[in-house]
Amino acid sequence: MLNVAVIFGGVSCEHDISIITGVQVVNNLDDSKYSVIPIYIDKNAKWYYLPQKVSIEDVLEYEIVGKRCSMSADSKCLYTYQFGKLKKRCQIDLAILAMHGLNGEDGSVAALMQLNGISCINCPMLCSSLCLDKITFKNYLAGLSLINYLPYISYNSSDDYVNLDKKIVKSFGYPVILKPANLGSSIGIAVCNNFDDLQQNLLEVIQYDKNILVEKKLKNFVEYNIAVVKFRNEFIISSIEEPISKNQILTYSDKYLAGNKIIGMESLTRKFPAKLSSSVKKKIESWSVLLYKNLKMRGVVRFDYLFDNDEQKLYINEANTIPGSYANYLFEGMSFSDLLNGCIDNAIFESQSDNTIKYFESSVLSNVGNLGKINK
Amino acid sequence: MIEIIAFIGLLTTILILQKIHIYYFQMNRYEIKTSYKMLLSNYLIDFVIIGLIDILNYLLYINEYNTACIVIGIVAIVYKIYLFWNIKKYNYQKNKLKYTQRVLRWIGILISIYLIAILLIILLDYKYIHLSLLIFEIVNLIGITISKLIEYIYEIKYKNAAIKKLSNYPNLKVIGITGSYGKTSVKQYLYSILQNDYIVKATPMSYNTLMGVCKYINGTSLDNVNYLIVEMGAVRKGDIAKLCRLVHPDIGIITSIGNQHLDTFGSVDNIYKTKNELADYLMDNNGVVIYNINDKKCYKAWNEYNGHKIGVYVINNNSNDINYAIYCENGETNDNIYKYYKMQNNKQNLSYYDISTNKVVYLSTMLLGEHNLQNVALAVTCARLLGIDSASVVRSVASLKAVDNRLQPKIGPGGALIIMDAYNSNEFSFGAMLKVAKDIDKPIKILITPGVVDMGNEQYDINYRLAALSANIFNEIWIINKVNKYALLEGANSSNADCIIKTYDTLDKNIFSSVNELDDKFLVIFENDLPDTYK
Repeated sequence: MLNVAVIFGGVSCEHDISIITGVQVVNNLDDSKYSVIPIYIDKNAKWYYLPQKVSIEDVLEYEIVGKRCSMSADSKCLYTYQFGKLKKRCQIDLAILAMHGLNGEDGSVAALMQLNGISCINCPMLCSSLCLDKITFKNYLAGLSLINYLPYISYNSSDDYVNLDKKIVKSFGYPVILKPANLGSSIGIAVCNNFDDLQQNLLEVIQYDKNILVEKKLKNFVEYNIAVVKFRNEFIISSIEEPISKNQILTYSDKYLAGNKIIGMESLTRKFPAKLSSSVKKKIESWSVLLYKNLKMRGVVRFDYLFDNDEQKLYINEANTIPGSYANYLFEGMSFSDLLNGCIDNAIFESQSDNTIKYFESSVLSNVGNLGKINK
Repeated sequence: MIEIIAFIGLLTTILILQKIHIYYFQMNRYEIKTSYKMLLSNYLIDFVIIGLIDILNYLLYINEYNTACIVIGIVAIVYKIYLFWNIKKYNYQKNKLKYTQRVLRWIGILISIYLIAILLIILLDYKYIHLSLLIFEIVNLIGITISKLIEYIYEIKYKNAAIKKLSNYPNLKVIGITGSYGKTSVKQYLYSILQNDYIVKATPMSYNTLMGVCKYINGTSLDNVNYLIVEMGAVRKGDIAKLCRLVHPDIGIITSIGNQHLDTFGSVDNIYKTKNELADYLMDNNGVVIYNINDKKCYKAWNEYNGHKIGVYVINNNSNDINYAIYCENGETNDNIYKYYKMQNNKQNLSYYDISTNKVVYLSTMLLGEHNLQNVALAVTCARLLGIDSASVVRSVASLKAVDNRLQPKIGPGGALIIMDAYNSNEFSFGAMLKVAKDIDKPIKILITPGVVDMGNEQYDINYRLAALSANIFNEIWIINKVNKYALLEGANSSNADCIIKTYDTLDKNIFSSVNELDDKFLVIFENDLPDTYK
């Protein structure tokens, strides 16, 4: 049996959503195939080893139910604290990250897993961190210049905001959207219709992140979401959904607190599958696969698009390397556990080629001589 | 006083000789006969001296010449310590005794028997304490026997665990590879080709015995794995059959049938039969056998086999014309042969005709040596059987890397081209190396070799012949070790070629450091590294 660690929680604004995704993943993993190791990271970045069949209630009482645990940087083992000392608990063969936002989705945990030689079903660290930072992501798209994106300005808290106003007027004009660069799930997003709005909102948004992405606000648009996953050498593209918001843009409460009941992304009011023209659909699908290939992604990735009804133009909004609920609701005809099975199989498949060449024998050191003894 | 000296004498015998014994047993795969044969050939004089001193001491003790007894006892102790230092210098140089689980268990058993033996000696009034060598050998033999029994129980345990584990994966397909040489290369190439489309596991480098494979299976996760490639090594009749009963292969590859391990097999016929045990198993279980029919004995085996079989044949395409290749392909009626055409240019290129797409597929590899083309052809044939498409095969073959120490090219610190072909050489791979060396364009070529071993009665003749061929190709031959020294020397001299010959006792640091200083005018080939038995 494979020991599969499911890691969720973490020091992030999306801590709670991560718990939902984590619990969903744990409960959808096939018991007969995998022995599941749920690991919860609390808001103080402490790791806890939870019982196999974990529920939300368990996670809330993690200090009673769970056991403090830790990982090193050079072994596949999970260590638990026993009388203040670290003891080997079990070996982790494979990891599933169910973490959203900073300190998880940004590639930090993927990097730890890479160091430990544990394969992950999720994206490796490069594309994870690149996609999390909205400004870097846009810069990447600008360099790639194959995919449309909304015009943007990056703003740092140390810059003068009068200057920002001038730039906005010069390039694309009001209204604009302010987005903290490294938060997902629409947290801290604000719409500004004029300079007064901008002044007011900047103060609020800056609390989330010092770097802010300023983007043109579309007036008449629809949002489309699509997920892509790779099973071995084959891309699987989900159906496209159209989430619907009562407000202007999808807010945090729209996404996760619909009807005051936390049930995850599935509960969102939406049109599914979305009704859209075949040319737009084709574009969305091809762009998604293009990005997936170019960034060497792995596992389920959800791409969010905006479609401008006035200009009939499609823009990519963002890529979620660890989407909420693993975007399983987008894959029609595939159960959550089938999706996870496929991802796990793919991770084992891809880890074979990871193991090929890591060390190259060179004669550099033998030519250098004894550096310690250089006398001038 | 006498008792104390005698006791120390006994302890030194036990501590010193026991370590040598365990070391030799470990080297010889824990076989009593071969280990004792080797021990006696190396230490016969020392054993006789210790034995004689023992008897002398015993007689002096019985006749109550106490002072003489003490003096001789002390001399014996000093001699044994001297012996110990010498052994340390010469024998533990390269491979130290490894304290594996088995050795630790064995030492535990020995200590308990020694305690009983010492108790008996005290009860018998110290009479036999002087017969240290005798006591030691008796205890040692009892120890080995008990240890062997325990290991046998462990082996059954491991084997059953492996069988049970494999039965949990009914969809796992197993590919067995055997042959006198080339099996590790084919295994690695096949692994590289298959891993682009499937999840594949292969037994690592030295895990090709029954216990090695069991250990690998027990310690490896086989979840989601599509193909398991098992290298099957044999030194005795029945070895391959046992491995087949363990892993149940679906496809077999027989790379070559040569004279390797003739000592333990007993006869050439036994080697032939043993390699064919894989085919026999697959015949009964409806599997496919892939033979390398460039090899004469393999061709014979292929001819005689009645089950589902494929012969892989690498043909030198002298005309350098691909139309010729297609012509041959179409003219061939026997569909049991997969043909590969070697292209006549300087690169290592192969081509084959893909019937499913009606196209000629060109393969290009960086691997050196014509035998490697055969190995690639075998791996490609197996991959084609498993439905890997040609495009994927071409890509994988282009990126194949040489197996460590098998015609593995390197650039030395000084700039010389160094080819390591140090792993387990034989007549065949030596010959392949010579072909490679001939084609490489360097003004000065050096061969560093101890010759080939494990060749039975023909060893002298084979080395003589190889040395004669080498002398025509190389400018210098550095002969290592004394095993084949005269065969190589005389062989090299017989050719009348202008070749400098140097001899060394061991392959030591000085040789490596002088090779490291050579510049890019030089080609240096390390051919064969002797097994521990000869060091």
